[in-house]
Amino acid sequence: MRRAPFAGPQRFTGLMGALVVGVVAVGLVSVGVGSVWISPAEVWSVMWSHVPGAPPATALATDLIVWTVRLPRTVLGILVGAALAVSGAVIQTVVRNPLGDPYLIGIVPGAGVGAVLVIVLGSGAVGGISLAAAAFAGAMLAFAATFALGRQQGRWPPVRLVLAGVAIGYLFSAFTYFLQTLATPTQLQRVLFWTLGSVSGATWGDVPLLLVVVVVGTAWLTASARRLNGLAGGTALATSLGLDVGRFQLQLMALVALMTGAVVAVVGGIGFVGLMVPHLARLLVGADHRRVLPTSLLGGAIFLPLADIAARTVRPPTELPIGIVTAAVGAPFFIWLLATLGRRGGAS
Amino acid sequence: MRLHARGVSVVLQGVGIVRSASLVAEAGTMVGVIGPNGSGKTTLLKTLYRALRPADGHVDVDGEDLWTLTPRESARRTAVMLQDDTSEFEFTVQETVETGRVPHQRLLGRPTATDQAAVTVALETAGVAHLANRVLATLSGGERQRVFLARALAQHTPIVVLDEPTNHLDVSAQIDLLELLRSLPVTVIAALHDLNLAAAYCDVLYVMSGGRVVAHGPVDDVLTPSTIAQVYGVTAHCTTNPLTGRRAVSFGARVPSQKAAL
Repeated sequence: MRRAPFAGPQRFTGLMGALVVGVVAVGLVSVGVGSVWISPAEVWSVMWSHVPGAPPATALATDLIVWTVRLPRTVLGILVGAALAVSGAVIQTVVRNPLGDPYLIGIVPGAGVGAVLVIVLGSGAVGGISLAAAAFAGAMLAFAATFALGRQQGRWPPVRLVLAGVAIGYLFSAFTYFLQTLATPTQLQRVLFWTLGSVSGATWGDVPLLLVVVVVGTAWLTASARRLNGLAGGTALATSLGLDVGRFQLQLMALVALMTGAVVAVVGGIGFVGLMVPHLARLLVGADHRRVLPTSLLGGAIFLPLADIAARTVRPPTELPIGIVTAAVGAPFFIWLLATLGRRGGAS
Repeated sequence: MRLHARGVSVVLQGVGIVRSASLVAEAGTMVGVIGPNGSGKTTLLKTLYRALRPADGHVDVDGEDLWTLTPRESARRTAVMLQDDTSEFEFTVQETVETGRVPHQRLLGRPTATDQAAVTVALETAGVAHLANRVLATLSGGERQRVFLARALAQHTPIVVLDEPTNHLDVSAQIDLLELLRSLPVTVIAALHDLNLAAAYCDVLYVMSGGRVVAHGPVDDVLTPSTIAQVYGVTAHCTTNPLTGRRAVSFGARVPSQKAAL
């Protein structure tokens, strides 16, 4: 096996260009598709009319659909996909486990407890905070417990961290399931949709915080890409390369917990993206984090809006939870890619 | 650069792995650490590159305590070549060797011309330049060892620590590697299993047994039938290798009614 097909500098730049075009194209389709089809030209004109100083939009109904409903939903989908994919890539390196994702370190089960508490017992049960705030608090609590339990001599040995995450995950899930036994059928329906995730309730109000978290988080992680390559060689090697392994692990995981916690709080537990997109990225560009992180970012930003388009067009007028689509569409694609690349590659 | 470990002890989960071990590596010399499996060689080495903090004792590098240095400062003085590690196999050779430049790089900023030159020279010196774009997983064990050596060389440190560097290597590759290490203007500390290789290339040997340094000094003083019998529990006959003029060891049977670990 030679290096991955898009590992060379020129081909990698080409891939980045293609992925950026892909994000824009999928975004335009995502805004256009729905009960009413709106052409990309109309979408552009509506977006242009919201640029300060430009003339206001002419068709009010179109403006409402594009600007108030579909655009925030699309932008949120892009941000969520990007954040989950980048986080998954980093978690897989820190726990040195290809199964690493936000579920594995307790984030999603923790958020589940907060969300289900609010759905079943009402926000009064958690001090009057919103569902998103409760989910975020649950995620941080579970993550803190995982990280406290996984610690050994100032560092986080990968196997120990994974075991801690799995144990905490089951503990929090047990509580979530218990709460569901108290729920009414309507509440159970809401729990199901939360568990499988959705971006259908998106408003512009959801965007700024996530935008800041994703941009700052991704920037720092990308700047740390060379050190992540060092960490991939294990604790002893990373230390010999001058990394303060314990501190670096703490910084990485705290940042990833914040990113995924914020995402999950807003859209619920969307699986598969954080697990599979980084693997797709590695198949395309190799293991070097300087390429894996940007590729995962753009790959997630394409994949999630795409899954959302499917979620609302497969069975109109009802919408499927997005988690069903991400798994049902993504897993076969991943299997196909694994099979074809494996055959061509021969070795390993 | 001189490295001096003074009375180093390491306790892992209540068990003393290294007990009050001292070791001096004078600048530019090659020091071998020998001893049976489980005698504490790897653990002692870990204290030399800051991967383990000793429960007791100090490691001085060029007269400064290793633990008063920052991790980055330490990594600019001591590089390490570890035993084969399976985690990085998706990386290419080039990418693996580039990680050797991490201690010289800022968080932001691109690799400098110095970084690139160091990587190129290291790839050529270790004889793996032709493999630069290959994925690590597809190389033989011996090729991988040379890649890990190239990373240590790219780190540009005055001290290089190696944990059983000749594992997986055939005779010619073992000789190439040790000749290469000898030719470098650096201080080398290597854990070695092959006593004849250790005798042929090291200036000074440290013999470990049960976590202690039980003998040390010039090769001819240390590699004696009585030390080998005491530490390995094997009878030995020492001669001079007619080709190299260095000490050579031939092994006989186990020493009757004696346990290997003292």
